[in-house]
Amino acid sequence: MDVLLTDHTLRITFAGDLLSTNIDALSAALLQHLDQHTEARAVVADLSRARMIDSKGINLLLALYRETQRRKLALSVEQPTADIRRMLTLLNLNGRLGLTPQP
Amino acid sequence: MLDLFVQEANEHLATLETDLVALDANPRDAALLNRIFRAVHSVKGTAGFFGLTAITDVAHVMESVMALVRDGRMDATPTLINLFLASTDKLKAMVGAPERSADIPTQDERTALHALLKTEPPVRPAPADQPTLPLYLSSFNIDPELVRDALRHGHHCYVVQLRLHADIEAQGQTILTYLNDVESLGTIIDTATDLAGVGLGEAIPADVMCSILFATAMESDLLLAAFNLPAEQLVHVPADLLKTWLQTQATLVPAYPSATAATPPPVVPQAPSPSQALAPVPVSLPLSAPAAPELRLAAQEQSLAVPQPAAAATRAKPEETVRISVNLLDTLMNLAGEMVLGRNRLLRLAPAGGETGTAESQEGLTGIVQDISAVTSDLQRTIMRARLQPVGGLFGKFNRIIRDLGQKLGKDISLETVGDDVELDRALIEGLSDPLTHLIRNSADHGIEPPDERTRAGKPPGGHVRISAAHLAGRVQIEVRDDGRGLNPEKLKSKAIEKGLITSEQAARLSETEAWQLIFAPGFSTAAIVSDVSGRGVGMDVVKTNIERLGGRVEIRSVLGQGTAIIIRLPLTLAIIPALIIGCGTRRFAVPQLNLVEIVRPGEDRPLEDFGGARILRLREELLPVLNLADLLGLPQTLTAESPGFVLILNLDNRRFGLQVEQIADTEEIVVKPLGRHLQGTSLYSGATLLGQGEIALIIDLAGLAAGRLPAETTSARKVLKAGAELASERILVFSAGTPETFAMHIANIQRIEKIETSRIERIGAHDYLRRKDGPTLRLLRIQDHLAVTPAGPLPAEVHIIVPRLVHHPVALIADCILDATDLPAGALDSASFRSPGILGTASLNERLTIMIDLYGIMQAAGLDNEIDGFAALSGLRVLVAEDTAFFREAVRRGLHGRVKTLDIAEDGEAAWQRLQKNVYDVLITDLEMPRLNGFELTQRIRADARLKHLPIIALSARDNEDFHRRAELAGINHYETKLDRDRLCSAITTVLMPH
Repeated sequence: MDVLLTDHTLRITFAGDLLSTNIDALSAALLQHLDQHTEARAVVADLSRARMIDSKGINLLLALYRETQRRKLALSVEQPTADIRRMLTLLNLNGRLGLTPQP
Repeated sequence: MLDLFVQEANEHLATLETDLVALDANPRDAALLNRIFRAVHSVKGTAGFFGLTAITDVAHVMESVMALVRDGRMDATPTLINLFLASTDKLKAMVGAPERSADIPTQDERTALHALLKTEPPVRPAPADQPTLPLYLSSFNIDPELVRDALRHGHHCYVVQLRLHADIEAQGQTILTYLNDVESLGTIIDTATDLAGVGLGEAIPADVMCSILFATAMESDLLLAAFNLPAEQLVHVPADLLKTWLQTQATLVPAYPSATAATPPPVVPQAPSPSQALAPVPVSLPLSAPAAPELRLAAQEQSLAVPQPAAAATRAKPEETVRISVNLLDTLMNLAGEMVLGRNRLLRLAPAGGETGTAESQEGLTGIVQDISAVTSDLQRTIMRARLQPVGGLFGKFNRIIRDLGQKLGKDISLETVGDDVELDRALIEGLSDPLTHLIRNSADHGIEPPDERTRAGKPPGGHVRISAAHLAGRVQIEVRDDGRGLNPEKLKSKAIEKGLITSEQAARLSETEAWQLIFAPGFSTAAIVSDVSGRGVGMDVVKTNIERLGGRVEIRSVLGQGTAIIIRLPLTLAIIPALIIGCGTRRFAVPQLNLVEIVRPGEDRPLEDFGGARILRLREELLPVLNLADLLGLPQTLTAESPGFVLILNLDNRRFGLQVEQIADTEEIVVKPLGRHLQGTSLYSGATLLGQGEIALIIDLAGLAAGRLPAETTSARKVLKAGAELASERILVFSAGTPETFAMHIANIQRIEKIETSRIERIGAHDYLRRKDGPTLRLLRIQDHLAVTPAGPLPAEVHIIVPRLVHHPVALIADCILDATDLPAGALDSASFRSPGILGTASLNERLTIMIDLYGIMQAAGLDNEIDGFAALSGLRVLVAEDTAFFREAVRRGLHGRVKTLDIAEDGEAAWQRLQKNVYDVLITDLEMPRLNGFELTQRIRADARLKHLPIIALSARDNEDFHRRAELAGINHYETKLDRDRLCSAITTVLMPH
């Protein structure tokens, strides 16, 4: 997971897929980064390297959403693959996750 | 002006009646009370303008009483509603003849209403303004347009509860594939995801709870099968609930920003932001009971986060309308029809005219004609749309009928209407009124049991009637369904025998489906006591005739003890129809294409034969009765055996028959014109039209043409010829063949049985033959020549020959005695103990061992199976067969054994599904009717499976009706084959796997 703070925006780039096998580790890491970068006002979840997301991966994104809401941070999800975008849209999570429009 | 009053007042009174019946179920419904009050008030006001004091007097006292009810000072009791309905009837009568309105007695109603006014009404708190939506809908942001659109199409709305892991991933599917499949079956109105228990500081749960509000044409059982979900995860949202909500949405329109809407909706805690204001109104906020905090949060969050298109802001603007007289509309329709005729003629003449001009003028003329053609089509479609009316107006009157009947019969009956917004041509609506009224009355009178009988049967004491309308595959389907006692085939047969409509022998041969059709026989009535409600025996045949006059068909489905559904399928309009133009001598006739299945040219492979004075066409596996158009119309006969013309294969109410005609001229969209007075008495024509060439063509009334001319014996002959294919999948014919053994073969494999004199059998070499005057010479097979059985003695003076169906060779088996036609009990076939070529197995019938013969095995042994090598391409295939009937399992096994690489046979759909999970197959052959998981459900499950969805599937069914074909196609079956022709099955596999 790569993390970059620029202009109060914390950009978190997931290293790969969001699957049940790695979710717990990712969850702990996300919490740690949010705690570390308290100056952030917005969080960008970059999914450009993720090819697959399973149900637990969806829950991770929802947990990130709730956490950012709690901390009053804006959340956006960027660069998902077409399939992941479609899945999030069908689940009507595009608005909640601040999914950026398709370029 | 008075005409206008009558028209308006009648509209108000029609609404009033519907609303009063609805009020009976919802006596505190503020919207209903307001509408009723307004309707009465309007009638009173306009009647007063015309000085119609008799009407004003009644309406005035009704209005006064309704004001008390509306203000919560009086209850809308059933007695009060009865009084209002009676008063409405009087108002209707007076409005119908305003000049004589003072002559209609209304004293009783007025006195009773005044008596109510004199009682001391209690003061009550005002009823709640807003109807509530159940909690399960509170988490959705519902777009009213999507709901309105779904209701307009007669679709059902469901809430589907999904666990993304347990219901999808754990079943071997991906979430995206599953959701794509869901979307392909209907419209996702909204999806809500449960956030409870999700947090970064906690263990991330494996499952995601998700609710989908979904609109679809599918019934819940099909949907559950498609989604592979248990029933408890699907909630049907009643259409009435959504309709009420939609009405409330209209009243909530000021909640959207407008010049006058300075005040935000009272339950929204703060003024809406622009993004909130443009979003659809969250259901939970103004309408529902208090939702769980999490659900409410979800709805609010979604409305904040999801920006909606600006179109929502203009949604509230109503479409401008203008009242137009029906006569004017009919005139417009007629003119549009004339224009279509003119267009047709122009299209026909244009190429000829163009040929004489220059290339430019030809091109120009063609362009102009095409433009005129397009504009004409648009004009016609637009005017036809103007004739459409929502069927809800018709359905509305049934509330009153059901209510009155329920009271009269002492039954508690509820009526549900679905698809009120489905639009139909007004001519169809008018034509449907009487038949539907009769069906509704029948359901209430004959279908729904009295409360004590229902209780004894373990049913709720109240009965339910549902009438629905939906657009399906370019037609309108209307269904009247009740949860009553269902049709009892045996009782129907007994009644028909008693009435002399059929003989006992005919009754014994009738299937359950055919027995149901008896209710359409003229004079048939099953009511033990003929009541004034129904049961006069003059109804259902008239219902059927009327529906057929509208170009429709009627189907019956019934489950004994559970209820009956009458399904009506209708064309969208009657005014302009596609037709086939046929010729007989110099005359032209039009045949509606709606009934046309195919056109064939009789020949060697499709011979026309005469049996006992009836003409029969042998077409594939069927023998169809054929009528000759020239004979029927009394025109000179030009067709001969050498020049037989064409046979139109027509389908009328699931009966197929042929119409032999001399010429096929064209296909054309024809404008239906009423017949002149002198022709209205004939049953052969339904109308007339003007063809493109300017000729007049009469439109053939196929129902009239077939009535009485397709004799009853033709129908039963067809049934026998179809050899039980629709009747009994386990019926067998038991016979002896001159040996001590008893043999049996499946009736589905028999085309006909004839008795012949043995002296007619001619022996050539080692083979027996029977020459026939009316068909090819038959090769006769003696069973003992081809099976390992006891040698037979000499044949008796007369024998039976059994002609099999679905074989390519003119062949028959010799039987010396037909012993019985009976059912093969489930599990009776023993295919292991006695194995031999040509024998499927044995069964113990009436304490005798009976040999079940494999007809195709015998033919193969006789050297008649010469097509086996044609299917060499199948040799590498892995085939799975799902079939619950032991006989067909064995027959398919014999049919495909040795031709394919692997042949696995499962005993039902569920067993097939399990095998599909473990093994890889190239093709699935499935029966459609099976326990546990039927063929439709199995196919839907396969099509929803990422790994299996492309598996070629062939349906192998004993049923060959339109409904099964349609359902098979909808489910995703690639090919439909009727049992049981091995070669055709192999051809089907080849076709499915190698379509090119």
